[in-house]
Amino acid sequence: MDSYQILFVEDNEPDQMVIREYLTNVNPEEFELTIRDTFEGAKEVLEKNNTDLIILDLNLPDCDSLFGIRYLKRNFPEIPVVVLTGLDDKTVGLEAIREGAQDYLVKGSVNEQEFNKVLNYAIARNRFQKEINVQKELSHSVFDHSPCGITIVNLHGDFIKTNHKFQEMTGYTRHEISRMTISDITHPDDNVATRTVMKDLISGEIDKFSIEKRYIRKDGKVMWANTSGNALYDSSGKPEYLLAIIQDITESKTNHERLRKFMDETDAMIAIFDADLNLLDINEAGLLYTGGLTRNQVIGKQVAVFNPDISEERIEIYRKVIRQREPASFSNKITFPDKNERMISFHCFPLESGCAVICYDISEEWEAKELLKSQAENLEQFAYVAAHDFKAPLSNLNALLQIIKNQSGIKPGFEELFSKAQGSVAKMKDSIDTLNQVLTMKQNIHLEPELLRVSDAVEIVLESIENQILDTNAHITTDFSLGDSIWFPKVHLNNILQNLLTNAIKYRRPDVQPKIHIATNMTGRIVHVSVCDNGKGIDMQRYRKKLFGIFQRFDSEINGKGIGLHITRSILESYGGAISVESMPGYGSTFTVDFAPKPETAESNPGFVAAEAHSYQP
Amino acid sequence: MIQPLHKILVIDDDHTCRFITEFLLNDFGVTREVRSLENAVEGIKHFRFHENDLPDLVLLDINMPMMDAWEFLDWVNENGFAGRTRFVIYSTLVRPKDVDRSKAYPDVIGFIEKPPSKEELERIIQMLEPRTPRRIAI
Repeated sequence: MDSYQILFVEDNEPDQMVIREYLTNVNPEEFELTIRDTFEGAKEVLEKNNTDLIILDLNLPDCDSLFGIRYLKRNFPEIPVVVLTGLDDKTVGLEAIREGAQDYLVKGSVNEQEFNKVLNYAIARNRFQKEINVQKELSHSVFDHSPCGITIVNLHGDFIKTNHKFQEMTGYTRHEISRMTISDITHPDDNVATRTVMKDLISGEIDKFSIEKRYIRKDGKVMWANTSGNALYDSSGKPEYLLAIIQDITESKTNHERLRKFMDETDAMIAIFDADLNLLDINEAGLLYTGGLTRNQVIGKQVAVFNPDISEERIEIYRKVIRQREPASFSNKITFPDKNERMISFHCFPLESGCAVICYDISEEWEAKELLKSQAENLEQFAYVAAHDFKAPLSNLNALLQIIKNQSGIKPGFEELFSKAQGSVAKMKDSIDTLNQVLTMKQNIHLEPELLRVSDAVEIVLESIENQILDTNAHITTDFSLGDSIWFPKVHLNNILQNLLTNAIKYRRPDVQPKIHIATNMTGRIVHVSVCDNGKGIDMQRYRKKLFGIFQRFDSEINGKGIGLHITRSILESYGGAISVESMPGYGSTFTVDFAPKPETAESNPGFVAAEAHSYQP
Repeated sequence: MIQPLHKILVIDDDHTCRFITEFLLNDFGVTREVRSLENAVEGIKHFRFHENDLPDLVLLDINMPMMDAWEFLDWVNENGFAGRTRFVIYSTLVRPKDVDRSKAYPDVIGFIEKPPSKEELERIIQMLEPRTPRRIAI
C-alpha cells in the first residue's frame, strides 16, 4: 500500500522538528512527510504531487491565516486540512474549522498521542465525507434522471419533493406541485386505496407498498400508474416522509382494457389454461356456459372441477396441444346447462406454457349444411327413383317390341309405323340414360386422383374416336412440351378429353377440313390443356352463361344431349379445376381446361373427433 | 352347339321383365328349365327345397320388396350355398356403386342392364361354359 503523503507547511523550525519526530515515532513507513515553510512552496507541492493531508500553520509569513484555508478548500476540496495555531488564538482554530478545516492543534499543548489521533481522524473523516458526497451525487442523479416519477410527501400527503419525470408525467410544474397534496391529483375512485396505504405505512402496519392507481393529469387525462414505495424514518425510527416511485402504465393498461373488452364482447367463448389445465382466464361468453358461475369462482380451478361433464377425449386433446405445441381443431355436439344441444367448433392452440381454447357455436351453419346435405340426398334419391321407374317399363317395352318384330314379323306396309314406335321408345330410353349418366357422374366425383400424362390420355382418346377422325378427314396436331403431368382421376381425364375432341369434330364447319390443335401450358403449378378448333364457333355473347348448363343445346342441326360440357365442368370443379372457352362464330373455339396441382400434403385434421354429445363448458 | 344347362332361376318383382327374360331364355333353348320367382324370399324357399337341385345360374334383380339382392346374397353365403351356383345381377340402372358392391360377392359373375337382350344372354351362357367364374363386362 502506498504511504500517506503529508504536506506540512510551517516556517518555525522547532515546530517542524516536533511534528517530524511525532510522525517518525508513529510509523515511518506509513507516512511520507513533505515540509514547506511558505504557502507558495506548499502550493507548488500540491500542484505536482498527490497529497492526502495538509497540516497548515496559520502564522505563515506569506499568507493570511484564514485565506489559506479558503484557498485550499476551494482548489483542493478533497484534501483534508488540519491547522496549527498558537496557544493564545483558539478562536482562530474554531474559525478555521468553520472554513472547512478538519481539525486544529494548539502548539505547545500537543502531545504525540493527540497528534496521532488528530491525524487519523482527519484522514478517516475525509474518507467518510468523500463517500457521503458520492452517495449524495448518486441519489441526486437517480432522482433527477430516473425514468420513473419519484415523490416525497409528508404524512399529510403534501408534496415535499418531486422529480422532473413526475412533473412531466402529470403536466404540472414543480411550483404547482409543491402546493398540492396527493388527493389533489389522485383519481377520485383511487383515493380511498391511496389513503389506506398511507395510513398503513404511518401506523407501521406495512413498511412498503405497491399499488395500481390512476392520477389525474393537469390536462384532465387519466394516467394509470404502478406506484410503489416506502416510509422514510426520522432518527427516532418514526415515519417522517413517504417515498413513492411512480411508473406510467397507461399504455399497457389501455391495451389490456381493450383486449379485455374485446374478449368480453365477442360471441366466441375463450378460455386460457396453464400447463396443468388450471383456468387462467375466461371471457364473458365462456362464463355464460358454466351455468352461472362468476369469473372468480372458476379462475385457478381445474377444467374438470368447474366443468365436470367435460369428456376425457377433450381433456386429452388439450393436453396433447400443451405437450406437442401443435394446435387442434374439432367439432363437438354439446349439451348445455339449459339442456340445449348445440354444435360447437373448438380451436385449441398452445399459449405460453399452457393453451388457449376458442369455441364458436356453429349450430346454425351445421344445421344448414346438414339440411342441404339431406336435400341433396333427397333430390338425388328422387332423380334415381324417377329414372328407374321411367326406365323400367320403357326398357321392357323396347324389349317386347324387339321380340314381336323377331318372332311374328310386321305386317307388310306397317314396317315404318313399327320402326317409328321403336324409335320413339329408343329416344325416350336414351334421354333417361343421359339423365342417369349425369347422376352417376355426380356420385362418381370421389375417385382418387393419380399422376397422369396428358399425352397418354390424348393418345387413348384419339384411338377411340379414330373412325370419326377418318370420316371427317380431321387434321390433329399436339404439343405437350410445356407440361404433361397432371394429378387427376384417369377415367375423368379420358371423358373430358373425349368430350372436347368429339365436340371439336362434331361442330366443324361443313365446308372446311377440321383442324384441331391440342396443347399444354403451365401457370405456376397449374397445368392448362387447350383444345383449339377451326369449327363453327360459339356466339359467346349469347351463350356464355348457358354454355356449361345442363341440357343446354346451341345447334339445332347437330344431335347432342346437352350434357357433355356440363359434366366436364362438374367433374373439373369437384377436383379444384376449371374450364373456360374463347370463341368466335365462323372461326373456331378454344376450350381450356385448368388442372389443379397435387396438394403439398394431404389435408388432415388430426384433432378432429366425431361429433358426439357432451355437456359444454370450455 | 352349347350344352344345355339344367336350370336357370330368375328373381325379379317386375312381372313384365321376368316374362321377357323367361321368354328369351326359352326361345334361346339353352336350359332345360327356367324358373321365375317374384321375390328373394321365394328364392330362399327355392334354395331350401332344392338343395340338391340348385340352379346353374340366377338372374337377380336388385330392388325388390321384403329382401333386396344384397340381403339375398348374404343369406346364400351364410347358409352354406356359397360357391354352389352363380349369379348375374341385372338392374334397370347400372350404377357404379352397385357394380362395386356386387364385386364383393365371388359368386356374382356379372352385372347387366335389364331386360337382357338376346346377345347378352348368349354371352353369359358362354361365360358359364368353362365352369370358371369370370366376370362379364357390361
